[in-house]
Amino acid sequence: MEIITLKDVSKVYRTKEIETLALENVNLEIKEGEFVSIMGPSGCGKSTLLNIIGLLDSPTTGTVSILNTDTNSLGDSKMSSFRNTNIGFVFQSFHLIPSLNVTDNVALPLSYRHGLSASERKKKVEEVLSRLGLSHRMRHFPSQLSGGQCQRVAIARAIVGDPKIVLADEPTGNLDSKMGQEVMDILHQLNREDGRTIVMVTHNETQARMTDRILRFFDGRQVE
Amino acid sequence: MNYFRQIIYEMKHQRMMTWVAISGTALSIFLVMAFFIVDNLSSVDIAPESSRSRILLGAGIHIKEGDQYDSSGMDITLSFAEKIYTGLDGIEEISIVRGDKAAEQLSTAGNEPFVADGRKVDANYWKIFDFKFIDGKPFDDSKRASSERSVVLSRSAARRLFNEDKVAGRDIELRMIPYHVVGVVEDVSPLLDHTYGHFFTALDVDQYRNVEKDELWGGSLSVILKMKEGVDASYIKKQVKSRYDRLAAEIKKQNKELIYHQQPFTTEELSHSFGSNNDPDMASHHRSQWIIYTILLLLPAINLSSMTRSRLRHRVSEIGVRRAFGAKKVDIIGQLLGENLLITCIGGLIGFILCLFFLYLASHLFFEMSGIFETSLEVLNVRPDLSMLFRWQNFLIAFVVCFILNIVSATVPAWQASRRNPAEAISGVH
Repeated sequence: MEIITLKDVSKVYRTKEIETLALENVNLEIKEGEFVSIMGPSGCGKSTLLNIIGLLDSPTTGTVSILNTDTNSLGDSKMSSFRNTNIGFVFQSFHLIPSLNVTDNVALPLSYRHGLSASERKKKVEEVLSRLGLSHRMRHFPSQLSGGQCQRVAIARAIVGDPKIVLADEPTGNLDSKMGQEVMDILHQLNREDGRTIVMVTHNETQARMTDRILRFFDGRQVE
Repeated sequence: MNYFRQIIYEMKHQRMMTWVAISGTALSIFLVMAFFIVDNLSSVDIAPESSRSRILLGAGIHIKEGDQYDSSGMDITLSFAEKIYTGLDGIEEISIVRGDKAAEQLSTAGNEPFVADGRKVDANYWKIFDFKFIDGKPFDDSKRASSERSVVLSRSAARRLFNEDKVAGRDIELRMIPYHVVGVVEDVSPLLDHTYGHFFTALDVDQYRNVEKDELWGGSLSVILKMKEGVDASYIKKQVKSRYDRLAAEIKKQNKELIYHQQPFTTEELSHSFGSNNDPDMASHHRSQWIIYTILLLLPAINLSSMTRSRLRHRVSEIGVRRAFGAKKVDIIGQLLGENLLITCIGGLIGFILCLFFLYLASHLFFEMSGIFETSLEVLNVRPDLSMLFRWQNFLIAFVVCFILNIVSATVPAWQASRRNPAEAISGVH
């Protein structure tokens, strides 16, 4: 069953002087529980594609359907709720909020979810931090953590709301190989054990080959 | 709770900007309060002048004789006072008093005299103002009190004379003439124009009638009117104007012109009057007040707006991340406004503390510098407590207006931040 479907998706960035075609007629289907990697040279539109799948950006033309929902028709408020419930993000630069400690960073998606009590929120955060081996870092701030730990916190934040889809934009790009491998192991674990669909942008061929499918892009077009 | 912690963290980590924003708000509230206090000192209700809003002062006369003489002065004669101010409708009490304080020598028999400020007032004076009597009581018959040489002392005068407060029934010397103390009142601040004094003797109008005869010009009196509850000053002014017109018509035959200047004056008009030959220009005064208040309140709002923009530039990607994880635009606006609310509250609190400190200093420095108020007796107990000068209502108005302006000024950058494309925001695009 397809969880993500893109039909004829194009993305054009316009400024006063120039028009840049970031994605051109992308048609894509990703099945539930798949671990897909997206590869291609810099500027080929990988991150743009990930942003469109993650509803952080909208396509210029074409339709994006996620979990059988036509996302083009969602307003800002519904789109925010949809992201909050169904999509988790892991970024290359972690993007943890420096002013929040580990617990509060991880709890961020839950803080925008209505009907969740403080104790339920706390329990979920503790569970996910324990799963990722970060229980002893709960009160630490991002500046007190290593890169690998930061990315594990970011993964915890991505999955604390139990989303079906996790989008990872070069999750190991800022880590050394050992820490990178640790992060990849966690992502595979999330895919295998939880059945989460993972879409990962990467430059690392080895890591990409370990995923179910590789989508290759060049100049905004899918070439493989 | 994490929200509050984050705000504190942000404030700590952007210390410079936070403190500029906080101190701007604090300074604004402090200055508004200080300005308000100083500006309203002479018109707000303060015991024993607790009914200032109902008090009018009948004073000031302006007469022209042809093109040669143009005479004006604040004090009036008994004849003029009676013609213009007695028997007005809507007046609860009328008191005729000597226009200004007089410095006179006080002593007890055989002791060294000292100079103190005295007032000459009639018996009705004590009904208009709510003096606190520590001992004895006021005189209730001006004529008798005058002939019996009764005097009411202030607490500081009583202490200076007898080293104690309860001295009713004892005798003192005023200008070497024996007087009988009938009461002792609590000290009054020199800032209270109508009630400050160290001793109060009785004013017998007949003595003035005998001396002044029927003269309109050259008096030394003024009239204090207390309006009935609910009566508007304009109603009294209208009656006074009509009496002025009548009197002006009478003296016109003597080639004299009597000019009306909006008498009787409210305490606010009196404190901003421009002499006895001009109309009090309250419209201009209020305009200046509003301009000052507006500038004082707008400055921190503009300051906070720029600070908010600047702070947001450092937090673009955070806003993108929050949006990615489900924050709606309204959540982002709410968070940023919440931060500004906290800044305003902290600024307000600091402004409040500064204001109390200012009041403390003012009440000590001003009142100890007797030269400013021409007090002749060393001021012992006239420092006002802070509640006399501080008005919660004023603070709340200044705070609420500052709060609203701060929120409005922060709303624009907050709204702009919330509308940012999340993808661009995450990558830190400004």
